[in-house]
Amino acid sequence: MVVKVYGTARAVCPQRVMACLLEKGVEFELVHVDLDSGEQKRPEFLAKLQPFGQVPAIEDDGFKLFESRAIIRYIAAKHEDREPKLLGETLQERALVEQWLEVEAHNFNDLVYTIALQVVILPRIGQPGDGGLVRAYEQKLEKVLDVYEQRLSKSKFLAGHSFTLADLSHLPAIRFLVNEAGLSHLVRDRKKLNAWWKEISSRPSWKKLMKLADYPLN
Amino acid sequence: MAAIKVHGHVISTATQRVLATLYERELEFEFVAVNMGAGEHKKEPFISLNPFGQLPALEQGDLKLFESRAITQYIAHEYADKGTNLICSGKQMAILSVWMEVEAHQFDPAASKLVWELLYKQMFGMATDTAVVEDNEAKLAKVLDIYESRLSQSKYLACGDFTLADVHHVPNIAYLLKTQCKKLFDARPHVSAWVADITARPAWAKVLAMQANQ
Repeated sequence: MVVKVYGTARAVCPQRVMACLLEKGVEFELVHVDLDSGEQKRPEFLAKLQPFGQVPAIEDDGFKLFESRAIIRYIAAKHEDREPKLLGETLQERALVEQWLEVEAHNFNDLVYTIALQVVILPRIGQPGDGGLVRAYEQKLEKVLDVYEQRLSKSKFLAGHSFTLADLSHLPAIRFLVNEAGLSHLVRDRKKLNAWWKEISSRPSWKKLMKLADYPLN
Repeated sequence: MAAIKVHGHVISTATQRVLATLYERELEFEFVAVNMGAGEHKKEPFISLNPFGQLPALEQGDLKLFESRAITQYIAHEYADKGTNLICSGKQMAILSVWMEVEAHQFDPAASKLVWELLYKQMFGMATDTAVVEDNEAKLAKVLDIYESRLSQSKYLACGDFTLADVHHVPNIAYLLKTQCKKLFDARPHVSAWVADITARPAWAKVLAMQANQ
């Protein structure tokens, strides 16, 4: 039975989950949730899929899960024996994967989300975004990405020598920064970060997802 | 195995998260106090432990870790046979993962802003922003409604046993109970019972003792 992913192909958090499913070669069906009309806030969705009214949620043969970063950990652990090994091989390697997943969640994500709110989400509902806030958060992101640059000059991928969940988790938001947000310089201006981004975004599974999401080819 | 060293500060909720977990697992460790007032966490040698200049960091032999929730997970898994269980197996691990994420993404943002406005700012002699408090109290109330529903079906957040998902909440909750936000927890019977339970644990009492001794 295929995994059902509730969300949309162009939303960041569902993309995180689909990227992981594609990496592990797990078949899935994307069940479209109409975010623009607020389907995810309706009682049925809240009761059956995600009580906080957000996407994604998944259903794996009757087993339900939400929170994209919990879902990717579940998928990676369920298919641990299959390449690529997204969780590291030893406990210490796993701890480093967790560390950089936490960095994404706590040092990186909120900055990007605030920018996305101003640049995409608010305008979509007919409200003006705050340009000053975007510039302020851009500055904060610069500082955080300096740390990433430092890390990637010592390590090919964030958690070590191979591609793991820690790298995967960043794919959707960086794609957004480099495209809709018009902030590609944040990546381009950093040699190691730029090389890392080129590497991880050229992975076949990411390219498959880009096609699924029907983004124009660049 | 090499000795565990925790670099942090006893008033930092993230540090407390790690300390609580170490005590739950009944592990010996050395606590290295970082002088935040002097900006020690933004300079060497601390910056080499956490390039983001935040507390806490853990050292064990050659292993260096930062991000409190990555540290607690490492501790819980590495010492799986010591002290309180804290983790699950099989599909339950995925449910545990969900509620750890909920703490990080739904609960912590509002809770930590409230702790900052109502407690830390007082400590540092800064003025509270009442608009921020009002806004985040409303957000926290919505989240706690969902917790109330969850805890009416499950004794603890992830399952019938106390796990990391519960531990992760304790530092912010303990601080919030000292503020006007206490009413948000008291108003919800299952949440209230859960809060009373998780803050009464001996391991948490040891963390409080560390605070008292500073």
